[in-house]
Amino acid sequence: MTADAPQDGTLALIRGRTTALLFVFVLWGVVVTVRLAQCMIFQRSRILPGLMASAVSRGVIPARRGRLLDRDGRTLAWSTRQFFLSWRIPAGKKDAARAWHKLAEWREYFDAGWSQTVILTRTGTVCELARNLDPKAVISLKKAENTVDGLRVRSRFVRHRHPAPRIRRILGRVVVRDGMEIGVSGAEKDHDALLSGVPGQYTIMVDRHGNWLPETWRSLRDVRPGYDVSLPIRAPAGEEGGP
Amino acid sequence: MSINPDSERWKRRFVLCLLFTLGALFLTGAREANEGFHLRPARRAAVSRHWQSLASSLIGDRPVLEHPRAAELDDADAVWLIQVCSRPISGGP
Repeated sequence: MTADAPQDGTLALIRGRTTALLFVFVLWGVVVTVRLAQCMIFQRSRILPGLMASAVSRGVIPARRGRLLDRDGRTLAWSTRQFFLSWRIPAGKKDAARAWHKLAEWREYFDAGWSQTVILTRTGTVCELARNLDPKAVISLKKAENTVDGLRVRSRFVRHRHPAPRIRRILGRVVVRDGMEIGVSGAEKDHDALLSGVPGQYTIMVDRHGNWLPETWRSLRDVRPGYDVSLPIRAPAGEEGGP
Repeated sequence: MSINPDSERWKRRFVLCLLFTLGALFLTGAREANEGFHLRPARRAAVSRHWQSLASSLIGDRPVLEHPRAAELDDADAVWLIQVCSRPISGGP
């Protein structure tokens, strides 16, 4: 044995430490493997739905309803998308006043008649601060939605009809359910399958605040607007319908 | 196996292991890296076009921005407009 060679006691010590280290690594590996198996195999059916439900949002994009035309191609009923701004006003007057102050930057987009005095008389309720916003305003209000609680920029379809009472009776009416316009009487009901179109479907992952993570967008079905339908009637001369 | 220190031998083993690991990483990661560097921007551009097209179709013919040069939406604005026009039916916190 040379002078540099370790003594038996030193070798035993190194072996002991190495064995202990190996034991720790193996134990760590076993714990991780068992936990992974537990999560991915045995508790998968319980964990995964909750995880997916909170991380993945699924939604629809309502389709624009088709137009009703007369025999000459003039529009009798049509839909337009309307962007609006709603706000659930805080219940407390102090909170409401503070939130109203935060909205100063965007008040130019609000409809006339809204002031702090009016807001304080409607605490705890939902009001529409602006109707018929243009897309530029919608983009500008993105920051506002993240700044003030309860503020929502949303859109809906509004159905317009020809003004003549006789034509309106023939056209019938629509109601809005889940963002989709559904014909409930007259030609709107008779041709509902053609007019209603197909809503788009998507999934997207969201963060814990519900904000979209754009990279994770998946389109499940493209949105298809409804077809236009021509009716065998003629609108009264001189009364213009829609676009 | 003896653990009697033979530093040269252990060095050779370490270098071999390192080379093997690097080689494996290179081979398995090359394809993914290639996709990341070359395919992802193209895919992202396609998604971006999809968002802009969808947002434009959703808002109809209404001009979004006044300045003609700014007529194209950026991705964030397009996604925001899609979000405003859509309705979540399930999921989310």
